[in-house]
Amino acid sequence: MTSLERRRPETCLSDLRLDRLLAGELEGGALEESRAHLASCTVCAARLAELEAGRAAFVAAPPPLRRRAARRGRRWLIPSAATALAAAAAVLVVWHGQEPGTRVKGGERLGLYVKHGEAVRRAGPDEVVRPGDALRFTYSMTAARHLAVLSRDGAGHASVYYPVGPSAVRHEPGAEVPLPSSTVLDEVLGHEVVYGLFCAGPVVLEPVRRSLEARPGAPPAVPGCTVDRLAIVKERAP
Amino acid sequence: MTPEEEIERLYRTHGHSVLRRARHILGDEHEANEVLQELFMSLLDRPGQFRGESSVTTWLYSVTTHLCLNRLRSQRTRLRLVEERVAPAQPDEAPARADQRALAQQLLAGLPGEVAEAAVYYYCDEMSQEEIAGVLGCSRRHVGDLLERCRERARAWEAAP
Repeated sequence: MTSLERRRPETCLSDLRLDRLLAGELEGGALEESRAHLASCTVCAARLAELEAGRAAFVAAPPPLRRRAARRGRRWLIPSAATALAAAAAVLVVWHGQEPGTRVKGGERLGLYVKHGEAVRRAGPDEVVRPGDALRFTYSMTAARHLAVLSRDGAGHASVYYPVGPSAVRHEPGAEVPLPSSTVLDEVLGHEVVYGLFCAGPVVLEPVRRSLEARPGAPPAVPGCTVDRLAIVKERAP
Repeated sequence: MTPEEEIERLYRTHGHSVLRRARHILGDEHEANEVLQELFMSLLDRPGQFRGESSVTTWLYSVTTHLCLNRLRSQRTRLRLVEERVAPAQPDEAPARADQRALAQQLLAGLPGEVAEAAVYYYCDEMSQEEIAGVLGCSRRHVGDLLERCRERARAWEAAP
């Protein structure tokens, strides 16, 4: 059979057995038997090392665990102002501005969709959105990259919009692929710049966020990453 | 520890094997991540699903297998995987290996439920027939029959023009 093959004979330890060993679930005879086999079988010992490395990498930077919309709302959506105040504000989206020093490759773009009530539309130049509208970012790229979305608001505060976890998350190439979260802008007025980072590896984001806050006007300069940016102007409605 | 905290702990300690297996079975990083999220979101919504009738790892193997096979069977996913010729799970994966993976996925998508499950455990997880019998809750002999049906289907696939 060519399409389905196995590399280890049935006398070797299965991935289930090795995963259970790593999880500390084996005891007694099963544990002793597994240890004895590992001591004499280089194939299984190598596989165990492989699984252990995978576990360590996951534990070091687990992909952010999503919540259902209602549950995620508490964690992801920035609390909006009181309804009356929020209704008075407006947000102006300026499409894909360029900043000196920002390196943007043609194949790597950050996009934005706006959800107003039940209607979803792609934001364009001079798009005006209202508080309570959900903003959802998308990415387009031709090769797999580790992604993150950061922003610096009008008050100079920098935050990581995506992901929830500490490091940029790998995504496969695609066009207009939505990121698994949406966000609502808070009431801080003024210019807000959103940066999409497209990186070769799982860049740790806290130093990037701090640098963004410390150097107003400068795009994040991270080795191995290209950057796309969206400029947003948040204004109160007349 | 609240049920939610317990599931977050489970995610950190066992998420790696769910993701690895989903990646292996589906051969697609995005789909594998979706399975990881779907499984743990479901647990967050209904924390009592794991009843302690087997080890946590064994139970997660079973749930992950079901979720992956459902995705492979879904027309939308299958068409997309076929159209993309299946993105290699590893960037440096050889084209021949990727083709072999694509064939395996198409085969799995077309197998009856229990046969596909046995095939995943035998070929992806390299379990013994006895272990598979334990996970599926059937006899070892029945597992042998399931695997034979899988081999027959594979032979028919390979013989097809």
